[in-house]
Amino acid sequence: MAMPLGFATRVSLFSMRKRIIRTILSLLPCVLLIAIMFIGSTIPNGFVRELDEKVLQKAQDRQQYLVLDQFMFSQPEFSSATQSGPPPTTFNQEKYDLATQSPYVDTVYPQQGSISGLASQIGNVPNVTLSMSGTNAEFAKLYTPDDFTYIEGQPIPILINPTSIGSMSYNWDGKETLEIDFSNSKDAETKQVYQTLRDAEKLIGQTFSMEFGKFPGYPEAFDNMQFSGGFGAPKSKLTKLTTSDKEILDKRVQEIYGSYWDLNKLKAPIMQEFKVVGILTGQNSGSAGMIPNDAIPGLWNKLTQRQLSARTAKVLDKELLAGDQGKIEVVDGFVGDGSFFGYSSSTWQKDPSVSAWQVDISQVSIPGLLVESAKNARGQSEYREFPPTTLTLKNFRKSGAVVKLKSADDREKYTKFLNDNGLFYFDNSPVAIIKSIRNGANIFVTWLTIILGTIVALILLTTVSRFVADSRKEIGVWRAIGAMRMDITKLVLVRMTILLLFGIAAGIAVGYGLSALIASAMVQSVNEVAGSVNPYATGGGNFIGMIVLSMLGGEVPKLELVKLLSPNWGLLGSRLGILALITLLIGLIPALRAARISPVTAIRDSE
Amino acid sequence: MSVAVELNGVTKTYKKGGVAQDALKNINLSLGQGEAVAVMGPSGSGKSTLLQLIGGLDKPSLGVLNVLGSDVNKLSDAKRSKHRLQTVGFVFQQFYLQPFLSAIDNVALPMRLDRVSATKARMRASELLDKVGLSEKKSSRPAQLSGGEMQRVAIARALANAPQILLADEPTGNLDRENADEVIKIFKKLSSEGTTVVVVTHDEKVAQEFGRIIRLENGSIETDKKNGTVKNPTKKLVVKKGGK
Repeated sequence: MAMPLGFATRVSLFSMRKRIIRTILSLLPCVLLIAIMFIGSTIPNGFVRELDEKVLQKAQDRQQYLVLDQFMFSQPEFSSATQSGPPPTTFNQEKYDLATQSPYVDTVYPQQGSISGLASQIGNVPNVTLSMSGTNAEFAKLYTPDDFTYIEGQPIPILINPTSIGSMSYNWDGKETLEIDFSNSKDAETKQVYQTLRDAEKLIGQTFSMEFGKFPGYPEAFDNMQFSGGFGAPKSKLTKLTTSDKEILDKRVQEIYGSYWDLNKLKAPIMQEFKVVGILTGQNSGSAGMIPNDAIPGLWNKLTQRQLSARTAKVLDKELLAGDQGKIEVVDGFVGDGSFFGYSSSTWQKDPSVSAWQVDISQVSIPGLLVESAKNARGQSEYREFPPTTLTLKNFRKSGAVVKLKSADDREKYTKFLNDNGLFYFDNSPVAIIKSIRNGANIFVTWLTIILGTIVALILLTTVSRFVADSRKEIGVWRAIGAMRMDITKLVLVRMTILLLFGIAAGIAVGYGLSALIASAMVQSVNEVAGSVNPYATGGGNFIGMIVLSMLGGEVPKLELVKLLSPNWGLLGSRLGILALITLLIGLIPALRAARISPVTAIRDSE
Repeated sequence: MSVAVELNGVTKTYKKGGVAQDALKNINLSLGQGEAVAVMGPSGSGKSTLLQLIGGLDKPSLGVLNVLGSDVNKLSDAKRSKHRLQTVGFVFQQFYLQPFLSAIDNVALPMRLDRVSATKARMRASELLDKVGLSEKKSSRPAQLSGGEMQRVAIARALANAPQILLADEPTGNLDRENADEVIKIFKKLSSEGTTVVVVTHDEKVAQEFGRIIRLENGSIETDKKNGTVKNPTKKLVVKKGGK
């Protein structure tokens, strides 16, 4: 027979009133820890749920498709040529076959990537209005095999990788020169503006005309790099081109190209219509865009036709080109180095030691030619060789590919297969990322619960043990007037439970407040980069935004505060339940110790 | 008069600093039902130990202790708790009231421990407070009461489960003469109603109010006077064992 629980609770509550300040103080760390537990079950949970709702479903529609970038199958070709820029590459047919003929693959759509200059092109497309939104359903519908097939006479379907579309420009603000200290990131930030493609999905379904094979335009400035010595970051002094600078450049270009081509004809724009059919985020692709291989021959023909019609000299005058400058090799033919949409550089270098402007034309597409590309310190010319291409249409067909898997569930196995075969593929699809975020959050919160739960239990243990030690006499009296051991155990456990419940209630209240602060900061930071694709877009000041962006690529959703603040009550409840269980089990130590206090203590001191 | 408490060769030995010391030595004693007994003696003479044993707070080391026919030595811990709860009532020098409970709730406490319903317990507590003359102070907290009033609340609490034996440890030690007299009056009344009352006291004047005075010395009964006559005049030879 023991005392009723309600009575024990009442007595405990009354007795705690006596030491209310002390009790509150002893509970403070406990409250804080439960608050952290609350935050741990709220924000990661809310964030994952937002991702599930806003990213996952859409991303799952694309799980069956993988982009195998052509860089996966290229092997660099090392030669002794004095070439600048990346070395040319050869196509590894064996690896390509391995990847595309895997049993996981259902259909292969050969695609050509490396569409450079897309950023400025898309930015300048006059008939693209970014107001139209491609809904998930529309997007899912669009992502069909038709999207990877080129039909002659139709716009070329293009998959856009917004992550790779960005451009850096300088904030001139009416100035003629800019001095940038790269060792001071803040200084660099204010003078450099990074622009990136936002809300790329709004492009889906849009048709636009794009100029390709563009003749290089003029840079906006000359760059006089100054190195601060040692390993310090360089400083740049940029000088804007003047009208006379442009005349000099015109003259130089005329000297290089004018002997062989009609420049006006060579510069005639080649327009092509494209239709955006999908985006490539989370596809481990470095390509700015991909188009079907079938579309390449048409583009190729247009480019070669323009070059042929612009030619003024049938045979290049090797003697003339060689001159007294040394050996110049001229090879007749056409060059396509993959970047046939042209090259644009924002700055060119000006070497103060030579009088002439040095124009780096290393990436301009010119039929087989060796041209002076730079002068060294002694005034000697350096040459860049543009060999005639050996690329044929056959090679184009085997570049990169979009593969459709037999099942979206095979994605993990397929990427493992690729990696096992030396084809590095990091699956940064939102589904994989969200999965790892969820696992990370779960592990984090679980460990947080275990560690904090132990601390909370120990704090309560200390508090209650002290209470028992302080109340020996009182407990003795309880025993003397007839309380059983079980009653004393009950009183101590009830007291511990009350403390825990107070701690939980206060912890949840404090946790909610703190979560609101953290969540609103998170919402602000993340929404600033929502729809954006490149970490540079944050300008460096938005740390949270940068992390989320780098995790999710172009798939950062707009977060809602309310949703971020909705705790997983089931999870929190079960964790708090475990905490309560542990606490009460630990609480048995002081409770049983208290029950052993002899009733004799009640009247011993009067002996 | 039937026997309420009977001690037969009861010895209580404590270990103090590794040395055994007899707090009580071979006590033979019989207390009748409704008897009012004062226990006197210097500090360390064993008065409180005697009270502890009768109250079932502790067990004798040797001998037999019968309280209302049951051998206390043989009771389990739970049974002894029940014994304390139902058979005996304790009154302490320091009152030991729960400071956060009102007078009525303090009195109701042992009843609640006995699983009496809250309403019933409060009703009886109210009657008991009436009986000890505290009708006006039922909802006062201990801090709002005088020493005498607190001791009367404590007596009411001791009576909560209608015990047949009331044990008081220096109940007047913290009271002035007037309040002490009041408490003694209550004890005498209880005794006349059939409750065995055992009071440990230093106060000769208080002791004289009781029908029987037992004097202890070094753990043995020195005298046992009943209505002025010495009942057990033989002083046993005490051999001191050990010592400090």
